[in-house]
Amino acid sequence: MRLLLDENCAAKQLVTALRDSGHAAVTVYSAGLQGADDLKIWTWAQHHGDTIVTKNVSDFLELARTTPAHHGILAIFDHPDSRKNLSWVQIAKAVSNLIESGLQIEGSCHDLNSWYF
Amino acid sequence: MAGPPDQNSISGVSITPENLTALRLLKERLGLSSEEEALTWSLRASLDVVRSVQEAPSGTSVEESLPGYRYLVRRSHPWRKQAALRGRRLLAGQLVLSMKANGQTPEAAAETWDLPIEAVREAQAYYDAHQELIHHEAVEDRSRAEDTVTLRSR
Repeated sequence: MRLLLDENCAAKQLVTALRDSGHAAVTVYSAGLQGADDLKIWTWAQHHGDTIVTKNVSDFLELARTTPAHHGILAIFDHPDSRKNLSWVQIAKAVSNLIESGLQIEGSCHDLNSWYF
Repeated sequence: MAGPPDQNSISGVSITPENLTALRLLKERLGLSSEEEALTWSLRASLDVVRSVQEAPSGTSVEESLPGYRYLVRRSHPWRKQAALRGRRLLAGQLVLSMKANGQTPEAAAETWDLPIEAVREAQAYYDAHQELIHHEAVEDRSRAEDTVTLRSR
C-alpha cells in the first residue's frame, strides 16, 4: 500500500516519519499535483492505487461515494483545541496502528485521529 | 414512418449521429486525436462549468485575492470561507494548527512547507483574527464527514 499525502498533509516531517515507520509515501508535490483540485488528485490516486491522506475530508468522501471500489482515505481532522491535534509523529503512529489492525483500507475512509494511542 | 436515428458508439456510450458530428467538430477544432478524447474533453469541460456555477462542490483551483493579504487567497468552495495559501491546497487554519500541534516556530514552519516566512506570519495573523471561523469549519468538516456512511473510527 502506498500513501498519497494531500497538500495539507505534505509536511516533510510527516513523509520522513511515515517512511521511518516502513510506509511508502508520496506527496502531491512529487506527483506533480500542486494546487490541483480534488477530482484530479482523486483520479490520480485511483489510477496509481494510492490511499489518500488528507485533512479535506468531507470533499473526498463525496468523491468516494461515486467510486465505491476506491483505494482508501485516511482522514485527519483538525480540532479547535490545538492540544487535541495530532503531530506528524503521532499521525505516522496512527497509520501504523491502523495497518497493524488488519482492517481493510480499500473502499473505506478511516478516522486517523481515533487510531492514535 | 421514420425509424430511430442511426446510433454510433464511443467507449460503449451510444452517440446519435448529430452528437457524433459535434464530437468530430470538437476533435478538429481542438486538434484532438480521437472522438473518444473529444467526448472526455467535453465531459470535463461540462463539469468545470457546473462547478463554477455551483461554486465548485468538489474543490477547485480558482483563487480570489484577499484585500490586505499578499500570500493568502480565497479558494471557491461550497462552504469553506477561510483563506488558503496562494497556489496551495493548504488552509491558513491547517497551517497554524499544525504549527501548534508540532510546537513549531514560524521559521521551522516555513522550512516544512517551503513557504516564505512572511507567508507563515500572514497565516498566523489571519488565524488570530479569524479563529471563530476556522474553528467552526474544523467542526463542520468532521460533522459533514460523519454524516456519510463510509467514515470508520476505531
